[in-house]
Amino acid sequence: MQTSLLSESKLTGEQLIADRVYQYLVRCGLSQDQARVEGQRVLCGLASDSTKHDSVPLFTAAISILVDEIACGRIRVAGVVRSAPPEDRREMRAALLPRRIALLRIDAWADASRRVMAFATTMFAARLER
Amino acid sequence: MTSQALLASSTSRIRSLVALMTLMLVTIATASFATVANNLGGVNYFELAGIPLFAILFAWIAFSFCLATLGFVALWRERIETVRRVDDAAPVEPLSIGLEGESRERTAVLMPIYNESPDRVMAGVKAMLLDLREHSLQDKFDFYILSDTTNHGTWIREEVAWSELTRSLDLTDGVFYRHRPHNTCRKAGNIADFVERWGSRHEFMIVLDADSLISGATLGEMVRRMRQDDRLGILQVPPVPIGRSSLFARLQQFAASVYGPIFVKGFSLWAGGEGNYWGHNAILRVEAFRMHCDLPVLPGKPPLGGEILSHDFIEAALLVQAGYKVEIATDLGDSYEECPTTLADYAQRDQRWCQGNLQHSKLLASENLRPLSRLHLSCGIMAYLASPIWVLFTGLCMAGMIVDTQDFSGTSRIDSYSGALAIFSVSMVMLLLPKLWSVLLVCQSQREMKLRGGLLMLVMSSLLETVFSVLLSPIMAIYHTRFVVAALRGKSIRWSAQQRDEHGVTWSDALSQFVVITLAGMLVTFLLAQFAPALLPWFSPLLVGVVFSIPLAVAMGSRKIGLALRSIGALLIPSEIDPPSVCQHLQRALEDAKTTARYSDQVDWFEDLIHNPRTFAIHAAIQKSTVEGAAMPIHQFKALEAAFATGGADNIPLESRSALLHDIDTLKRLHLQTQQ
Repeated sequence: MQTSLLSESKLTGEQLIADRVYQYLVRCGLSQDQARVEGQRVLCGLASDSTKHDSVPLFTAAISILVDEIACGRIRVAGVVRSAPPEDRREMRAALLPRRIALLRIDAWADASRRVMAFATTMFAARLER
Repeated sequence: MTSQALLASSTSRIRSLVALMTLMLVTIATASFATVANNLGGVNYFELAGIPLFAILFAWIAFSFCLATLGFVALWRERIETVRRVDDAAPVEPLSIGLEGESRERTAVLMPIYNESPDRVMAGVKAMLLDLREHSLQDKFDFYILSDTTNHGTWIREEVAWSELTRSLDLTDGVFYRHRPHNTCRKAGNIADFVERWGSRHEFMIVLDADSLISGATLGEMVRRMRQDDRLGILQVPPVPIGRSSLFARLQQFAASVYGPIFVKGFSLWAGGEGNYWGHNAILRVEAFRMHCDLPVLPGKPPLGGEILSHDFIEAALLVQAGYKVEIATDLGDSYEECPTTLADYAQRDQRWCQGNLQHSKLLASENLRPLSRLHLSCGIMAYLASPIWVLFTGLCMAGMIVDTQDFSGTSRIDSYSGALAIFSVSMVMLLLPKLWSVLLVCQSQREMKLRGGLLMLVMSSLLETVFSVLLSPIMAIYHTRFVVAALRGKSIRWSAQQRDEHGVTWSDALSQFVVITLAGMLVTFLLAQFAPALLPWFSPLLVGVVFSIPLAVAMGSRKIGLALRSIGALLIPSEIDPPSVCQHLQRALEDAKTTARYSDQVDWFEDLIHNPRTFAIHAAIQKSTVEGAAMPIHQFKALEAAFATGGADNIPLESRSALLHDIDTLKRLHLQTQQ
């Protein structure tokens, strides 16, 4: 059960937002102390620079920042860790020889034999006509 | 002579011996078959057509028999040598598992998964990690769970289960998870994706299946052996099936545990450094794999063309062709897998393998493959082609013998029937003798015998397994024939996830699956009884299994029967009597998962992801670290947002959910909406 910082009736508007941010972070898996510290840090940052949230409500702006920071690992949450090491891309080199599949050659032979047959048939038909 | 040259010369001698023995047995048996057919009223057309089929089928069993014999002799001698060394108090070389000071590089352990149970997958990884910890080897390995899962609910559950695993073991590194948006080229593509993205970080990779389990000591030893030999491309550790309770599964587990070793040993000695790879429970040299194993797409359409399904044989052949060795470590244990629990599940898996192996016919004549690799591919094809040949041969024999019994007026009937009986007996001996040898080999050690319930239960279990294998073989032959015919007619299979849990078989399921086979068996029995009653005893071992396939299928899938047999000590395997620590860890992890599984089955994971901050955070963190942004088109996003606004997560169409899960920015917008 998460606990809020203060009972809602005594909270000002900003305190209410701080409390909701705190509860969000606790639900993410942060400890209560960590949630309080991180929530306050982000809200203070937003308060000092109103351009960061002039088009969205303060709470949404704060959560948006926190979501990104958790996803990038800047805020550490148990069980939310880097899911892959950094990539060092090196392509697989195509296995060349099996691409020259014998069946391709068989297909080629089949094609060639069809042409020979067609030629022979034409010649035979021409001979018959004569 | 160097040890390498000695080994090569000994392998060459073994191959010549096996080839000679097989050829000799086939020649004698085929000549006898033709003589017997001729004595029974002359060779009719059916018998004439049957002679080459007999030769092919006999060659197949004679070859297996020779390999089993070879394996038996080798293992028998090895065990006597071991006993003598212990008696002489000579130091026995311990299994070296310490990797300290050899290299700081970590070995990748890959677990490719596709719509599997996340609880089982993570329990397996956890068991191996705990076992590695016990051997102080955890920091020598990185685990990669490589998901190709297409079911979005299972995908989210995988992420949550992975997160729980890292949290429960207090890990910040060393167990990774990534999900591939498109499962191009299936498992081969999944592995290739790993090699391209993270392969350069690792010298070796150990490839597992979703149900694989290998002890920490064996993992360590696999790496040590790869480091010792620069030319070793793949080291395959034969997996043993464990952990299932249905009668069918227990029969397979027992057979693999008792009979498996002599076949694997024989195969390993025969193949030498040109062995085979079975797709999992093996360690591979990453750079060699990257340079030589990007598989081609076969010309033509599926089922025989297109993406290569059974990639493992081809990868082994390519590495051998490139000058690397592919070996089988018959002396390494503690390598496990799980097997299908019902006949239908087994057949479903076999259909995939059948299609994959038949595809290899297109690669048989590829240039520059080593002759032994071609032989491995041929054996893979023959494993399935043998069934239609057998069914055809049986039909021809029946027809030929009916014709003979109608026309026959010769004087050598008794001689010829005794000749036929002799051929039948020799064939049976070749099939059954390896089982007897395997039992003898187990009896060589008191401990091995105890681990299978003692001498009496070992013998009883072997007899039981033999009876059931005789009953099941015609059913499997009919299944294989259907698969081969379907593949040749161009019918491709749907690649669904393997059924791994124990769900049993209901009578209605068995009826629908086996009614045609049963009726066909009854018809053949009736025809034989009507026109050639003397032949019925000859064919009864085949017909009984087919006619009773419905109750047999129900019994095979029964966990109750399997457990009852276990309670009286039948069909026991060593891991049931004295489970190694990695199996104990798995058991505990599965029991832990049972409590959460009940909860997780009731959760709508897609809705949970959008509403629950923790599930969303886990998903977002995974996406940020493994996937490049896959933003969906603006009109699609608008449509999804409108659907979400009117009816919540339920209103988002199923077909759009996977795309949405990959578009983390859109998902974040929806998530933020739910938090207002």
